[in-house]
Amino acid sequence: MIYWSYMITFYLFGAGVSAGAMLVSIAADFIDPAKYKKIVRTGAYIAPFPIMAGMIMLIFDLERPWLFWLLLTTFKYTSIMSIGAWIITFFCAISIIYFMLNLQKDYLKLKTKANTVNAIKAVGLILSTGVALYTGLLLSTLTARPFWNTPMVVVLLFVSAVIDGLAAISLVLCLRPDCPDCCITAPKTGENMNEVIKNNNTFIHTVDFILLYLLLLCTAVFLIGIGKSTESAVSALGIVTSGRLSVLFWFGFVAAGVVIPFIAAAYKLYTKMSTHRPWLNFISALLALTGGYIVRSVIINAGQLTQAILF
Amino acid sequence: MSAPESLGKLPKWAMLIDTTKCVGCLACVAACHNQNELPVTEYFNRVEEQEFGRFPNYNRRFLPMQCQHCDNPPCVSVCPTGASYKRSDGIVAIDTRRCIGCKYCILSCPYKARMINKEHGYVHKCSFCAVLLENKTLPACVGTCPTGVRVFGDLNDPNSEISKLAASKKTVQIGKDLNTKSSIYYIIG
Ligand code: SF4
Ligand code: SF4
Repeated sequence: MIYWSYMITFYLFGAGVSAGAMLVSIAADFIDPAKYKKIVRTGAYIAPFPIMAGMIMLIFDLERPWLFWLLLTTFKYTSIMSIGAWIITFFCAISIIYFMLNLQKDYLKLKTKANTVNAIKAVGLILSTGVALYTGLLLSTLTARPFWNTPMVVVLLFVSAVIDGLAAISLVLCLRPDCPDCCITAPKTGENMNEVIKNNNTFIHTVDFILLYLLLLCTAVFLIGIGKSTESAVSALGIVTSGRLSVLFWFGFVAAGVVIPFIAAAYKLYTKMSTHRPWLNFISALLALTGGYIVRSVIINAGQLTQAILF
Repeated sequence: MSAPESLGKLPKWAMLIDTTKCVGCLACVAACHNQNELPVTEYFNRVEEQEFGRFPNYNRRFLPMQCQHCDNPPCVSVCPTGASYKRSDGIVAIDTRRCIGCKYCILSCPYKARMINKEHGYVHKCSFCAVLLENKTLPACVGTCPTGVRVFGDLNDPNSEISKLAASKKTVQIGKDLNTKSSIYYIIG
């Protein structure tokens, strides 16, 4: 029986993209704010929105959406969903603040204290990590669902979230690579636009390659772990690899979500493709995002289609 | 658990299901439907048919299934609003007014004991007929069973039939390794 529809998949996906974009943006900011400002800004501009769209989807997946406010008047520490609802609420708030912070650098020109800014970034880092972990923990803590009940789901969805965030940033950068106002303040005098783009692309490709390598490992360990587990877990794997989810799994999860983006990232690094080739970047980012959605879709559905065999 | 200590305590309700006596007549399912005024597509208890062994030592059995009123209920711990809760008499209940229909509890229950109510959108399930218990009446399925498969009683009363049966080696709790600590004991043939 399927209880959680594609709307929950979208919710987990949106949460992953937002958390990933925020993480990448703050990380790039820590490393070198001047050099990677395109990434920092774009990440900050993306972060609030996918998760909000996801929240709306979540509400409509409830059987009684008009009561959703009960989620935010209760806190239950035993319920990952309750903890997650709170983390996401705070994440939305901080991502909007972070959004404004970057916007003001571009447009508003307000003065903010350095300490305040650092505090916002630190909280943002913690909350985006929390959101990215939550999507996996929501599933992995259910002992009744053998396909979910493994810590590998958490790691896999975490890594995938950061990859999706990176892909979303990359996608936006492709759309407006040298836009002076949407992604970056106009280059300072003496600053070469091509140089800026090159730096940012190198960063994206390097991080992407490392993460996709990790995702490849996680996926392999996840599937081997399930294949060597209990009878019900093995039957869940059967549904995925050769049953009704197999097309989605092999073409969406494995090919579009993991293998092709990995090869593309390796290729880009290998050929030192740091000059801007928007189309290649655009297609691989789009593929990575589609793959990221399908990864979640397969996991969500496979977990629901199989139950622990009790007797 | 000694006798004087437990006297005056709240009950701790539990059930025994002796599958060796079950003939699969589904009277309990009908009684449950009737008692809880359920639509045809929703049910709180079911009877699973299982085949086991290898020819020629081959057999089948009926396994009545329902909410196990777990003492460590995953459905209660995952519920984000506190709609699902554990009562002090051991019954796992749902405050339907607080249920938002997130279905997390349905996915967390290893016994497939929970259902969405199509009409109102909340989740519902077996309540050990708590309304009947208040009037000192047995749950509908227990009273109906023609072959006496079901024994219902208070685990806090050491002299009750259920206490003795639950302590005996004959009974098992299904899904014990998931640490749900269920309140339904089975005798499996
Ligand atoms: S059997 Fe399922 S619904 Fe009943 S208490 Fe246990 S987990 Fe909850
Ligand atoms: S569906 Fe209702 S009872 Fe179940 S976890 Fe959600 S709010 Fe709680």
